[in-house]
Amino acid sequence: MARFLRRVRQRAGQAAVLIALTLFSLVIFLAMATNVGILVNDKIRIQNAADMAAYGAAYKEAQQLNKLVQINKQILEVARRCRQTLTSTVWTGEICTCENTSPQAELVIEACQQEMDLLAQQFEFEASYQQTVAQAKAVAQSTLDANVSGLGSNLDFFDAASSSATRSGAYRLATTNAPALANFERVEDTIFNYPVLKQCPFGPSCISVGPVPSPNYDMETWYHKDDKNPDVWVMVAVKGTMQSKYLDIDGGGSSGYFGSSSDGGAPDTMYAVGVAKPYDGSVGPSEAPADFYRNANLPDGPYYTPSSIQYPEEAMIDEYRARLAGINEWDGASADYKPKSALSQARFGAISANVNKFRH
Amino acid sequence: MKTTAMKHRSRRDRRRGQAAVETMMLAFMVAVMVVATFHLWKVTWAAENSNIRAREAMFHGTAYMTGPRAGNTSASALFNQGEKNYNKATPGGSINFSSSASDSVDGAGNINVNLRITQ
Repeated sequence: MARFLRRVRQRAGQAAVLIALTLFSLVIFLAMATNVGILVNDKIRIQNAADMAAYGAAYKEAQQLNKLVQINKQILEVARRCRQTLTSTVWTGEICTCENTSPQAELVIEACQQEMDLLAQQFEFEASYQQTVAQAKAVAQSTLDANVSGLGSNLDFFDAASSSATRSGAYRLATTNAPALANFERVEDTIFNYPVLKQCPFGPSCISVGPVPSPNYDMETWYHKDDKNPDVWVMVAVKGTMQSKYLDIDGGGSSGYFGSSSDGGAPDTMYAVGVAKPYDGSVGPSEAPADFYRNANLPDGPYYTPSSIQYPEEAMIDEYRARLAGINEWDGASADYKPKSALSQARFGAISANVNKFRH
Repeated sequence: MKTTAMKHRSRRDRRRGQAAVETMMLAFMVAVMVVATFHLWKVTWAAENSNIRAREAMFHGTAYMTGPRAGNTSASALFNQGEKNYNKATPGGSINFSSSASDSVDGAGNINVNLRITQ
């Protein structure tokens, strides 16, 4: 009993134990600080890469939209030139038919329509899914790789998600139903007419009557983006394993320090989502007053109606730019497609399961 | 012949200075840890600062780059200061924007961050 009490009273080595415990705690805190630092840094890197990729893709779409506006302007120029040609001359009607049409003027109209149709073909080619969204995806991919090597192969561009604006077929050209960047409709201009001297039978010969206006002609002219919401957007989701190896106290495995490890297993994977959109331009004026708000970037006016078609160029603004957007930006809007809805269909299960954690 | 009091004094003599040595060693190790943690913080902060500056330079040009730590930042900016808007997306041509920022950390050299948007 006495020996036991002596051993209990002996305090040699007590400090060593305390020192060991203290040092162990300090090492743990140092490791924690290292891990958090590296994790935060890697998170910033992957988020930056996702944002750059989304911005690059939206920029590519903005480039294409500006190109479309320029083609629209060319169509408008042809239409104006034709109207000028038709109205600056008094045309002669077909001999002794008494009809208020002129074969020569009809030829001019046909040539004008052909010229505009050629430009329309160019417009539809440039507006096609292949030339717009598919190209934007390529930009996103190369941008990811440029920022973090190998990240491009882990891109989800949401082109397979049915709730996404970047899915092939989400938007279409009204004329051909082909997949496109947005819903584009061709505007019918009905103000093409010309003054004509009718040649009417009068006894054995003909007399000229008029000039009278020819009937109005429907001509297919420029395009407008048939959409009431600015819901042309791109979303990029990306996942990656950190390049930096960080301290891994359990020596591997996928349930290590802070639920992660440096072995590249599932808990090591980081996710980032970026959204961007083209904005600040306008493809062309819409067709009717009811559609006035269809193009969100349309200025106060004017809009196209058969009776007021003075300044359509004011709604052809080739100043599309790109900007970053928020995942929840279209919440509450009656947009055709919303990033948040598409996010729930993400290729990466970990994202779709945590959609509500994205707050911006 | 040693008395009981002499025996106790002898044991105390043997342990004299032990606590001081232990405290010194512990204090040294704690100091190393603190310095290491502080240095780590500096490196992490510099890296994050560079990342943020490169990003801001990319998206806002020089608008946010006028502070005392802006010296090492450069970018082909997407933002037009005159228009106070992003640059117009001129059709055609390749897409190449880049931004870089660096920060020096004593004993750790430069932390370099490069951001790119490219086609």
